[in-house]
Amino acid sequence: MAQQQRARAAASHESFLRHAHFRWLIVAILISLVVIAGFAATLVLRDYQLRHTGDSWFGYISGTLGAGLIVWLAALGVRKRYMTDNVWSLKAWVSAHVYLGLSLIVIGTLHSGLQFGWNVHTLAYALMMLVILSGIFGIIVYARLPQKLSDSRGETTQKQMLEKIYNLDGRLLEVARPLDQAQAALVTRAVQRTRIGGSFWRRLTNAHGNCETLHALTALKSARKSLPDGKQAQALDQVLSLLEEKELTLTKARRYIRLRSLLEVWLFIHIPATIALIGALAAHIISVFFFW
Amino acid sequence: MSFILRQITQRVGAPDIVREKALAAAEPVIGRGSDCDIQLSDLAVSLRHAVVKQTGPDQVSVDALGAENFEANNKFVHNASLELAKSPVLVFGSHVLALTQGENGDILVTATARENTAATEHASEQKHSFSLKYALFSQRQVAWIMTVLILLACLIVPISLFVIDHNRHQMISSAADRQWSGGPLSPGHHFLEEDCEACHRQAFVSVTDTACLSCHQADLNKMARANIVTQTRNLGSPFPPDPAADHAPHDRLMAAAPADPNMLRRINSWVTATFSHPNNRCASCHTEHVGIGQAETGKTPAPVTSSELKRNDCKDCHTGMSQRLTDTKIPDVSDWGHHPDFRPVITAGFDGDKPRLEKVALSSMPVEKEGLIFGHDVHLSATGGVARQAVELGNAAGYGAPLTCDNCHRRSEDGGFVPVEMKRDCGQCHSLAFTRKNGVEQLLPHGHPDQVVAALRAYFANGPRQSSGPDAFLGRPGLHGVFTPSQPVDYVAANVRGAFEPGGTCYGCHVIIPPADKRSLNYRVAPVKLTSRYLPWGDFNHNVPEHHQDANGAANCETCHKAKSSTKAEEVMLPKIAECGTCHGKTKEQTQAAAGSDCAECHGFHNTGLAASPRNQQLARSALIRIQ
Repeated sequence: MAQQQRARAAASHESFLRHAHFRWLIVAILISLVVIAGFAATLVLRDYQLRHTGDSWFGYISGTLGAGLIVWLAALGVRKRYMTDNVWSLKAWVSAHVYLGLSLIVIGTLHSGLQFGWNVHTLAYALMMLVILSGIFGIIVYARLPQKLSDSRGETTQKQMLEKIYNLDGRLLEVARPLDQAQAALVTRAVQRTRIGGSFWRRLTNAHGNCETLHALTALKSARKSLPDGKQAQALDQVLSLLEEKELTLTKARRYIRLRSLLEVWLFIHIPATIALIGALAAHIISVFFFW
Repeated sequence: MSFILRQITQRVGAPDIVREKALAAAEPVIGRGSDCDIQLSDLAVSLRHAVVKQTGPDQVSVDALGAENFEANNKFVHNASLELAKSPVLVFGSHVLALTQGENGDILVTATARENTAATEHASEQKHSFSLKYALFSQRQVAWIMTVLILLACLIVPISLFVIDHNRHQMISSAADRQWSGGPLSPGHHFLEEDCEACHRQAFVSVTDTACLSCHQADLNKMARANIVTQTRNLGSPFPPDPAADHAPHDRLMAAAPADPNMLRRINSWVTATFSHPNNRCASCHTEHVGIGQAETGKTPAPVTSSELKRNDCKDCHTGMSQRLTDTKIPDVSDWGHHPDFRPVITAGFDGDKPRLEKVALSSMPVEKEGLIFGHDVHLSATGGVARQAVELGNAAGYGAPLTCDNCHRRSEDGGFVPVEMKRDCGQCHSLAFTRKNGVEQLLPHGHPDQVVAALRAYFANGPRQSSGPDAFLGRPGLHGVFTPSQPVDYVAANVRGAFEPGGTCYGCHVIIPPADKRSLNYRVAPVKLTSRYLPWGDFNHNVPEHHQDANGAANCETCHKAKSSTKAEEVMLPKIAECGTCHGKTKEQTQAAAGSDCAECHGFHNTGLAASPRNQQLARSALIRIQ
């Protein structure tokens, strides 16, 4: 049953790619082929000179198409905020977003006529490619990671993971009372200074080598070895048990955070670059006609 | 023996509620799910978290059903074996289950909910910390900052500078300008790289011909031309601008062009014209911003490259042009095979001293009236007086052998010829010296009959001269020495007349117009105009090796110009166009010397009438049009 569920989940994660029997993939391929044909025709008409392809019928049409597409693709950010009935479902929208966005590689590159330089036109192209490449990364992680993400969390929610950690922290502070000063300090540090997420790189690489909980756990474990059984040892055992559980929970939470970071990180390029692209696109279009 | 569940709900400020029931299941399941025997309403507990089994009279085991651990006696374990006598305590999330031995051997499970509101609150506050944005930056902020910066730097600043007067802000402006440039300019225009407004004069209006012609205007007077040269030099141009004449007046060009049969191209023309981007501007053919980003490096401007020029097809207009441009004198030429024969411009005569130039068909055997009496055959003959004299003049004088064409006709660098000059090219034989003074020859001033008369009068004024001695009168071809009269006459006048009358110095080559009054010495010479360019609308380069020598390197002038059999200067010794066709338009299989049949081989677009020069030819070649 679990396997069935997993299969169903996988299908639903991929479904924006397979939506409506790849309808938008086909549309994107058709658009690309038409644009390639237009480019080839322009090239033939211009004696195979790769001059300004922007300054031709092909250039103006592909430019209008590309600019229109960019604005529409960016509108996904608005569209996703609204619920609609099933007409143009969000899934259909995302599917079209992905495939038409990919066709923009063909449209934009041929529109440029492969003429690049340190100018506002190439800036717009570079931003467009940055948005598309980060989007491709997004497609890959969205197709592969959500299953892992849900697995990594087990059956708990994010809030429960945190609650559990804070609960353990509260109990640690209680249980650690009989410990001596140095050991109590380790526990306090573990409670107060343990970071669950941490910096950007730490989240992405999941490298938490200097985790205070881990540090307290190792130090107290070795302290326990030299401690004769007694009341203090009993307290220490309890502390160790709580710390171990906290460490386990932390590991789980951090693995979850790493996956979630991967799932989100491309958006930090995709979204700002999209908005910047719209600015650069405006500059490109206006400057071309200002001095045309 | 069974399990009895006692659930205690703690209430603040009120007694606890205690519910007790016997569990039906022999092995009760602990979990959040409704199918569990011991239901714990806490999300931290799994749906089916663990199962409790009695394993002995005083012993139970608890086994986790899923991956989640549970706490047993302060330890987190996956399964535990517990002695009831020790009052074990299990913790699932916020629920504490105490196991004790009940009556009748039953096992009493006391479940107490433990509230940890602090942790719950803390967790709700912190739950967003899973999101990356708390470790990175706000997407919205960065998006806005980048967009505003781009719009400011790439749009608002350049436009503002254009509006305010860009020259005052050269420093910022050049950087602001460059970022709009779609590509580097051609080498010739490299110096304008940071001066967009030199060509782009108005916002949202395409580059107009006025902008181009402000430097490249042809047919200017000297003053205006000098101004333009200075102006472009001040802008940094390494060369004076090439004057670009119109191929024809603009309205005639438009009239000559046939209506495009292609509907799409007709629509194209209409649209481009409507959107102030007409396709009959200079910039419609001359593409800019496709250069290599380098300034001119050579001594002459680099020719226009093919990527900098949109090539048109001559035959588009020149096929059937006479029907569209009914008053044109230019014959229709659809291709090289249909090129009419040459119609050279010759000197047909003189109106007073002014030559009358006429364009005549070569097939009409034109007679040219250059005003000179000259026979090429006599001069080029391998035998006879001319040849003998040339041999006698010797190598040191530049002769030493019977005459060849290049003894008189010297090729110039521009592919034409240095004009023939009497003193230099004829004077070695047809000497103008008439006496020696202190051993130095005194020459009659050529081209000025009145001065000739004056010089001879002065010479003979002092009485008769000898034909020998230090200042003897020199005998020349056709002259018979000093005229010695048999009866008393005007001695001076008789000697002056001798130079102009039959047998005199001038007589052999020039048509002499004697004075109406026989006593006058007012002799005149009919005007002479040697044609230097018969085909001014084409460009024949004599310096092309195949054009002046044969396969063995010997001069081949005779192939085209039948000079050895030409008895009179009146004959126009131009070849028929068929002569060109022996190489041009032929394939390599047909002849080793096969050459192109492109119109541009001979005709420039802008400066068809300019003297031939290698540069013009290069320009013409790139500016023109393929026939194929």
